[in-house]
Amino acid sequence: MQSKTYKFKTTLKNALGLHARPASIFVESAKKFKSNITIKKDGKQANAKSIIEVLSLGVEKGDEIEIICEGDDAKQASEYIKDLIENLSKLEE
Amino acid sequence: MKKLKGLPISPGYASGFAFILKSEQPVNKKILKTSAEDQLALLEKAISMSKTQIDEVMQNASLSKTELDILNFQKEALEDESFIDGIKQKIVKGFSVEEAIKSSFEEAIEQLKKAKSEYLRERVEDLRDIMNRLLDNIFGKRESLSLNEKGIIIKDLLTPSDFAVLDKEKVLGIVTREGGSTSHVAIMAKERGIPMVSGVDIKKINSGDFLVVDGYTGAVVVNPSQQIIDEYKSKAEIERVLSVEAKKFLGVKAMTVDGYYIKVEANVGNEEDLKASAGVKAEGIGLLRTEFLYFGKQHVPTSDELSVFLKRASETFPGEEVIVRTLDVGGDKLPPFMKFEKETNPFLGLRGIRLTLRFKKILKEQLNSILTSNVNGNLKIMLPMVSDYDEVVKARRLLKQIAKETNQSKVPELGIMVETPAAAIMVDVLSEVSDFFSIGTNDLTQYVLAADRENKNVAYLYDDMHPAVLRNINEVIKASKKPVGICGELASKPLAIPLLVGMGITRLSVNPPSVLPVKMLISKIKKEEAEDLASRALHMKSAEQTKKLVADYYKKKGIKF
Repeated sequence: MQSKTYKFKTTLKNALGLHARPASIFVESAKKFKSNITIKKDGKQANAKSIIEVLSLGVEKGDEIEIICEGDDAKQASEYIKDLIENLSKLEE
Repeated sequence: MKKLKGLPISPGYASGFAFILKSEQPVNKKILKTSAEDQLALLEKAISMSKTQIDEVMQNASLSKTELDILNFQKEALEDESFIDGIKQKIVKGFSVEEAIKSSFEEAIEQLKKAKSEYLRERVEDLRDIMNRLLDNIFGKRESLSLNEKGIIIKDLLTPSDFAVLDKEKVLGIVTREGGSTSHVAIMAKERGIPMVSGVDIKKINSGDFLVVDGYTGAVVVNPSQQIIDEYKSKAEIERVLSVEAKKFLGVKAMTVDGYYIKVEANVGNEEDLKASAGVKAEGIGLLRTEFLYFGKQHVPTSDELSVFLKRASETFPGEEVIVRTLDVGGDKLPPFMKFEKETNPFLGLRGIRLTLRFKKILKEQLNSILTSNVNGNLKIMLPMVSDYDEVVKARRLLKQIAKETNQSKVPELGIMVETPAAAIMVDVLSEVSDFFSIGTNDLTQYVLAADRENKNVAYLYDDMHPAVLRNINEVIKASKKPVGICGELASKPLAIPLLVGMGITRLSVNPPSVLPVKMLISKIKKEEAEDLASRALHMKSAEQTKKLVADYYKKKGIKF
C-alpha cells in the first residue's frame, strides 16, 4: 500500500501553546494514529508522539507550525489534529 | 550557635530538630559492562520499576493538583516510546545503560533550558528527577524518606517526587542545598504551608541539631540561643494569632474601631473562586469576571451558555449584590472566535466596552444572559474600560431594549469600572448615567502612571500606592454622586486599607483568601485617624513615602499585619 502525506500549517492560538495539558493531549491524540506525525517549527522538528520532543520544540502562543502526517491514516490524522489545535484553548479553562 | 544564610523559598517560621535525609549507598556501585541485551533488559526493568513507584505514590498519598501534574508528566516521559527508543539505540551502539540514559536526558534538558517559557524551563527539574529515579533503580539505590517524628528535613536536593512521598504532617520545615524559588518543590511547599529555605550549606548541620528556619528571610540558625528561640517563637505566634484571629471574622461585619461599617466582597473569576467566596462568607461579589466563559469558544457564547454560571453566582449570594463585569478583553488576548487587525498598542486600543460596543452581538448575548439569570434579583452590570459618557448611554440603551424584548420589567443596576483617568476625572458627570462605580486600581495605576507593569524597563514606575494614583481614587470617592467601591489589588493591601478607609470608601472587593484578613485589619483602624493619614498621604512625593507613612502608623498603634 502506498503511504500518503498530508500536511498543513497553522498558528497556535491557545494561551499555553504546546505546554502542560494541551501538550499531553496533543501527544495522546497523535498516538492514536499509525501514521508518522511530525511538527516543524523554525526549521526544527519533533515527533508528535513524543512528549519530550514536543515540549523541547517550545511551541508558544502565536507560533506558526507545520504538521506533517505520513502513513495509511494520514488524512484522518491530519484532520483530527487540525481540529484539535483549533480547540486547544478549550482545554485551558 | 551557627547562623546559616539561604534563600527564602516558602514563607513561615519553623523550629525543631534536624532530620538529615541521606541517600543510602547503592547496592551495585558499578554496572559491569555486559552485552547490549543485558543493558537493554536493565533499562526495561528500571522503567517498569519507576512507573510502578510513581503509580504507588499517586494511589497512596493525598496529593495536591500541582503534585499530581508533576507525577503525571513524569509518567508520560517514561511512556515516551520515541524518547526511550533513543536511549535504546545508544545502548545498541555500545553505550552503557548509564551513559545512554544520561546523554539522552542531558540532550533534552539542554533543549528545555533554552526555552522562552518558564513552564518549559521548570520541566528540566522533572526530567532530572526522572533520570535520577531511573539510575537509582538500575543501581539498586533506595532512599528513605520516612520520618519517625516531627522535624525539619535537611536534604541536598528535594525532588518533586520526594516531596509527594513525604508525610507532610511530620514535616515542620525544609532546608536544602539546591533548588530555587520557582522550583516545583517551592510551589508544593507553599501550597502546604511548609516553611522552606534553600541554598544552605547543609554540611554544617548535624542530625539532631535544633534549628530555627525563617522562610521569610532565608535565615537558618543552628542550635540557637534561648533568646533567638524566643524571638522566633513570638514571631510564629503573631503569625498564628493573626490567622486564627482573621478566622473570627467569618460572617462578622467589619467595623472600624469608631464604628464605621465597611463591606467586604469577593472578586470571582471562575467556579473555584465562587466556592471559595461562599466559604469565607463574602458579602457579595464586587467583581464577577466573565472572561473564562469566552476563552476556548469558537463562537460568540450565547445567553444560555453564559447563564449556567451567572445563575449559580446569583443563587450563591441571595440578598447580596453580584456585580457582573461585561467581557473585558483586548487585542493582546482575544477569544478564539474574534479577530481584528493587529493593533500597535492594544492597551490603548479596542478593549473592554469599546470592543463589545463594536461587536454588539457579544454584549447583547451577555446582557440578555444577565437579565434572564437574575434569579435572586441581585445581579448588577459593570462596564469595563469606560472613557466616555456616550459609551455608558449606548450600553444602557441596549440594556433597556433587551429588557423590553425579553419582557423583563426590572432592569438591573448599571455601573462603571473606573480604570481610565478619563472616567476618574469625569465621575461627577458620569454619575448621571451610572448607578455605581468600582475602581479597578490595577489598570487605573497603569494608565495614570503611563507604565506597563509587564514591561521590565518601566515596571519600577508601576506602584498602586503612588500618590498620583491615590489622588485619583480620592477624587472619585469625593466627586461621585453614586456609591463607590474598589475591586483592584490595592483593596487587599494592608498598607492601603487605612488610606482607603480614610478617603471614605465603604465597599472593598478582594480575592476570596483576603476577605477575612482585610476585615480583621479594618476592625483595628480608627476612621478618624485614617482620615488624617489619608490627607497626609495625598501630599507625599512617592509611593515609598506613602507606604512608610502607613507602616509607621501601624507600628505606633501596635497593629500587626
